[in-house]
Amino acid sequence: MSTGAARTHRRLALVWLLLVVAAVLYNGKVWFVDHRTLETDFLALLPNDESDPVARAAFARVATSAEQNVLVLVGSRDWADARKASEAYVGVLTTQPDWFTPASLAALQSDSALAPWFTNRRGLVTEDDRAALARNAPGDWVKQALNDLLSPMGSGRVGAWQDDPFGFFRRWLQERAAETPVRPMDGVMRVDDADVHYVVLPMRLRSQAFALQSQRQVMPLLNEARALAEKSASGITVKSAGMIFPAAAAAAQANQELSTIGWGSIIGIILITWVTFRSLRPIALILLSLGIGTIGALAVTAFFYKSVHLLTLVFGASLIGVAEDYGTHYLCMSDRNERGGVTVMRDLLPSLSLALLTTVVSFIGLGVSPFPGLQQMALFSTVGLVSAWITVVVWFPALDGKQIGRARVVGWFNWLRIRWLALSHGQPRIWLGVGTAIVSAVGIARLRANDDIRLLQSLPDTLLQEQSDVGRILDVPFTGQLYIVRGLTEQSLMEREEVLRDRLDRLQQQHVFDGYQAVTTWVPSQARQLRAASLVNDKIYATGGALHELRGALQEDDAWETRVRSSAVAASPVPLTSASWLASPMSEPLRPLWLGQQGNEWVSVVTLKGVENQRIPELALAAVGLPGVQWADKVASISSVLGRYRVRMSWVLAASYLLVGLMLLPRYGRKFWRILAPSVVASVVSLAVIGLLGQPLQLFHVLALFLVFGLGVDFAIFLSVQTHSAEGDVSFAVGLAAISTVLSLGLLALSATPVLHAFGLVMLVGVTVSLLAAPLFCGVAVPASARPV
Amino acid sequence: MIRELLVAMSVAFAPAQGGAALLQIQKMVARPDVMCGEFAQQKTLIGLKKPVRSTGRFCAVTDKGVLWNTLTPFASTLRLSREEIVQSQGDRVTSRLSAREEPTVGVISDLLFSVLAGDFARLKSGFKIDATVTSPSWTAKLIPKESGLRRVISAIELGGTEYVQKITMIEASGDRTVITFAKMTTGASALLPDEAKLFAAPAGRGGLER
Repeated sequence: MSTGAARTHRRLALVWLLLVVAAVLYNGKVWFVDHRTLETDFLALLPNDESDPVARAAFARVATSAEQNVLVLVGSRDWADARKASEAYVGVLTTQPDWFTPASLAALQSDSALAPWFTNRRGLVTEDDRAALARNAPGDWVKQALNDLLSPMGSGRVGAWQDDPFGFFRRWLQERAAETPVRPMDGVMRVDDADVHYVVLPMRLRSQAFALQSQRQVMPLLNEARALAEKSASGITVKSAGMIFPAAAAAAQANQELSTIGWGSIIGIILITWVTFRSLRPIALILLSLGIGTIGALAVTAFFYKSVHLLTLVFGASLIGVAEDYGTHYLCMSDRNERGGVTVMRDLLPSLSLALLTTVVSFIGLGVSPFPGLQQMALFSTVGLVSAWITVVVWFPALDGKQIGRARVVGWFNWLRIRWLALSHGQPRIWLGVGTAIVSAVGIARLRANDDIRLLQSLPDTLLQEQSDVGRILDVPFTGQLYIVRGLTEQSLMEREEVLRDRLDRLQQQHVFDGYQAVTTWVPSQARQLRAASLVNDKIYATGGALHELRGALQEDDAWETRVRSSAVAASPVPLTSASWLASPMSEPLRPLWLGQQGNEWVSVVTLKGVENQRIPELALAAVGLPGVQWADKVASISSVLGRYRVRMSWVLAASYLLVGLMLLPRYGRKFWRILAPSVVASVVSLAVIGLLGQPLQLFHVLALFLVFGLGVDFAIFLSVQTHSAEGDVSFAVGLAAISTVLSLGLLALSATPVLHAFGLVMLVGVTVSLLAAPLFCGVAVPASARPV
Repeated sequence: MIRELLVAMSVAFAPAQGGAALLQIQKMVARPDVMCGEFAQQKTLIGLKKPVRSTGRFCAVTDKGVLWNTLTPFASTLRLSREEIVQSQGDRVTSRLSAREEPTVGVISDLLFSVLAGDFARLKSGFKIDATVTSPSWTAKLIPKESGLRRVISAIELGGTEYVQKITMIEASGDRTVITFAKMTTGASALLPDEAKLFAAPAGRGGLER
């Protein structure tokens, strides 16, 4: 050992210390000064694979507008009780006026809200009336008008009777009102479901539903409000819906798992390290390497990503067991005491480097996937592992204190290992091979892929039920499927949307689905407005039209007729445009449907209500052959992306094997396959287990196979290291690493988050099998020629 | 959403209040399950020189709703129940509004029933009532408590003895409807066979809530 080498080592240790300090400071700034919060949206993990930017914008628009909405229904069979309970609910929320924006009823009820429609009422005629206008004689309209005058009730209309004597505008408004079952009553919004009357409390969160911080603040308040409302009278039902509820449920679950997996792993590692070394210093050293790994990973991830995902941390926590390997390996080298840490480290470095490199290669496999969440996990894990590795390499030799002994546990372990190797020699080995082959064949034969995105959600049934109840009662559209309509001008867009609506109206009459929301229901194209106006003109206001006849029936004079006609017709037609609609508070619920000008085209969205899965093909067909109309199915498109990448990533995995095989070639020569074999066997058995358990094969299983690959190769590399120390040391280190890995990843398999469960299951089986398989392929059979260079 | 239409007929069910006169009226008004009579209606609309007059028969049946059978100037029938409001001429239905399309249908029907029947116990929750009793008759002026409804109906004036005999509805627009009643009969026999048939027609679930 040269003093030069030691000096270099010290210098490196110092540089690393500076970097670690920088990372600590950066973390402090990001988390404690900037108060950055964790992202919890599961969908953020998924790729934005809509190749069409307009479709992407459309979904983003609809989703964003929905994200901050919270809808609460407070109901009772007794309307007075429902109102009392809703007041209790609102009372709690008003203690934090900065968190919510309540929807305002006053704006909708203001006199000016409907003014643009009243002014332009000429062109606003229902489809039924348009058909009747073409069919009926003027006399029929006179009868209808007189009939309306006989009602003992008020007519409930906008403006004076003579502004709309034939009721076209009144019926058009009635049709618009029928689009929602919600009605203002007693100063609140009311909706009825069978005999339960609900007060509707729509509000908008001021913060993002997926920001952990806002969930932590808002959820307790919403729960408190709910509890108080339920207590305020008997028989109160409260139903809530909004992104924040599933988001908070998923985040709470992930949070719970983060602590379970994180603490589980750490306690496990402390125990294992204690049992092995019977000393505090190795524990402190291992925890130091893990801590610095975490600090580095957090700092770099926070630097590259604006929001760090909670699941990234959960996944990262599961890698504690992997990061711990490097330190354990070094500490297990018993001859450290005689030869000095730096020298031992130099000898160990090639295998440690190769182990790190192969793991990182497997993470790069995750990184090249188009999944933003997985890329983040890959970055986090890579940086974490590299940081832990550097800590071990540059700091451990200086810090290890030289006096670390080992307990008898090494003896037991070696005994076990020798029994296992003995069992797997000769005939037992053949049986083992045949048995594994049969089980694998049976399992893989049963393996079925299913990429349906819906398999990935894991919300409590009660929560889902409540969300779907609220959707049903309020008759709101589902935004997973929609039509995207485009045109070069606003008017061509609207005309195209109307052609689509004509088709949808027919499908709705055939009960294919319940209804749709579209901007042109409120703002018909100018062409349609003008057509309607001229139709009304021909039948009603022109010479010999219904107005003249009505005048006779009412015994009015010429002046009256002229006045009514000029009120309805003579005013020059100013057809409604999207601008006047957007400016009115009436447009609020439908505004997300209007994307307006996007680049050189105009875009809008039509959403659907009451769509059943088996009816989706018919609805998709409605867009076929219509220029500028596109059917977009987010659920199907994500599912197909998952499927496509499941296949693609399988090829990338195969390519990674090839790449790592080439990397191993210079060192292991023709025996390189022995290093790869444990991973291959482990992967095959993992797939078989998925098949035997009847779980559908998904992309996330394939992604976990990347890690099985990396870890299996690690084990094999470490086992084929022949250093100056006894073979038992290495085996022991590998065994220890595997046990701690299995421990942390096994905990991941218990996750209720389907993505993590898929990962965990494959890792659990894969790591266990590669641990058992590695000695069979590498432990004894690797020739002495394969020594570290 | 569409305030006039919707708010127009909404009734509030707030805690009861009212003076001694109101209590007295409530004692005076008979509340039979079936009640029929003749009506004369006069609608004065802004912009029309002559009021629109009509006459006919009406029936109000507890739990079933209201039948408004205009006979002059031409025959026309209006049926209001919790489920729907149907307008017809002879056998031809000229318009139909169901509670499914318009959730306030039930409220509208309830309001008309309460006004016809003089059901002050119910009306006083949604209206501020100014009552005067000059035995054996009484008058009451109803002003909607809720501002949304007040923008459509300014006031409803009722007058009567054992039954409501006169209704004056003043709309915020200035339109005014005056209805007077005569020849009131009560009990199952009050319904003419044709009327009974109309009430027997599918009333759906529930009928008018009592």
